[in-house]
Amino acid sequence: MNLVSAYHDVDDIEAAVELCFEQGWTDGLPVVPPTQKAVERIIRYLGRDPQDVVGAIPPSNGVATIEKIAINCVMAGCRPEYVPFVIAAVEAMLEERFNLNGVQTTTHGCAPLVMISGPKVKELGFLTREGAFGHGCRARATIGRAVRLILWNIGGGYPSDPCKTTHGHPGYYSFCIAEDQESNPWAPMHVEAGFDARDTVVTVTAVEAPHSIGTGAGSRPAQDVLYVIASDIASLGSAAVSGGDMVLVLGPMAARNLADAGLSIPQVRRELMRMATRPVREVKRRESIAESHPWHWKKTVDPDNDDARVPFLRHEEDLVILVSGGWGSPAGFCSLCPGWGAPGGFTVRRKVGFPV
Amino acid sequence: MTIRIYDPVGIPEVIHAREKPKFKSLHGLKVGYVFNQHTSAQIFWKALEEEVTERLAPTAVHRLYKTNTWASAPKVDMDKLMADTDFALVGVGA
Repeated sequence: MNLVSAYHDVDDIEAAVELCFEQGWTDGLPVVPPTQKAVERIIRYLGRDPQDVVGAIPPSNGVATIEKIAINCVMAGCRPEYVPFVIAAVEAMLEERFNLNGVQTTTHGCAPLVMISGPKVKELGFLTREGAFGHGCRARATIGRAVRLILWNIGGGYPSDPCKTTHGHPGYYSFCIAEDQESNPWAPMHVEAGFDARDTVVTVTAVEAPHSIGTGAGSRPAQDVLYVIASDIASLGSAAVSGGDMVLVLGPMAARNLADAGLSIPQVRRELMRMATRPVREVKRRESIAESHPWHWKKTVDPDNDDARVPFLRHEEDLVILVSGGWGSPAGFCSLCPGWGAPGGFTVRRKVGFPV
Repeated sequence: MTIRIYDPVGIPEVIHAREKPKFKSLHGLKVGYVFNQHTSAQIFWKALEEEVTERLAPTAVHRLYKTNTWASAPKVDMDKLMADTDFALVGVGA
């Protein structure tokens, strides 16, 4: 196989790991040295020409060839069968509506969250219960990690110059979650979005770190559960005051509570949209985008009426909902990942293409 | 034993820019403005336009106000601006 990337010869594994740090090929965590054997193993699994181009990754517009993606996937620790998820995520992020250049360089703290649903979740052993966002699952950890290394090495997404996120968040190292279909009382998220149940689909939205919400789903009625979630959505500092997407991960207990109350996913969205508001008198105390801007909250309500309610969810489709996580205590924990607001990072979905 | 490891860094996409016209002076030309509308740059931008008008006396002014401060202006809008003007000032803001 003819790899065209430059290479370095080193004496041993320690030197290889150190070289990756010295070359700036990693963002602080050690990486698996991308050897020829490991890179070729992935490319052979994919059955694609190493020089096939997936796209140019902003802000540096490095060309993401299959070879470069494979190298970064090796560094992240991916097994070959994880790589199609990474490619689907890259394709999704390159959709114009995602505004990857903005996501990579904004002062806001949003990172692409990779959400996976479909039959391959179980087949490939994604953990979807306790620690749904966290530790303990190679598939999630390395797919999220590969996406970050691609944004780093191919996209040039380095902090300070040119990436201006003031704080970032731990998801900038790896940010991936999978849907737990067994505890989901509704249709899978990709089926609800119009895909076939047999498909495995990657959904990408640029969001903040997950905020834990104790909904009380173990003892409270559905309307109280929704009220608590809506209160978190309508957080005064949220970028959602200018619109945009966000992700709600319902724990199995909260999902069961809402489904048992007869609510469908669209009804949950509608209820949250109705409830997730704040009065003008509160919202006007925070700085926002320019008032002349078409997305300014003053365009949504009468700004002179202090009692008018400003919406933090402008459209039903702005809220991505999936079910994942452990059953837990009666607190009925859920996680909310607010988005970047109106500038972008909008949800994009891609069916994962596996080699035949 | 030698270990060979491969470079993960992407080669930047080559974009062929059109040839830039060279002006001896910007005075009396057609000027374009691409303003991102960021709140922090509104006062500066107004002052900039006034200064350009006073010093360069442009024969035509075209303004492109981006609807998304944080994304590139649509290519179709930029192409039109470039066709209508001799040079353009681009504001990054924030």
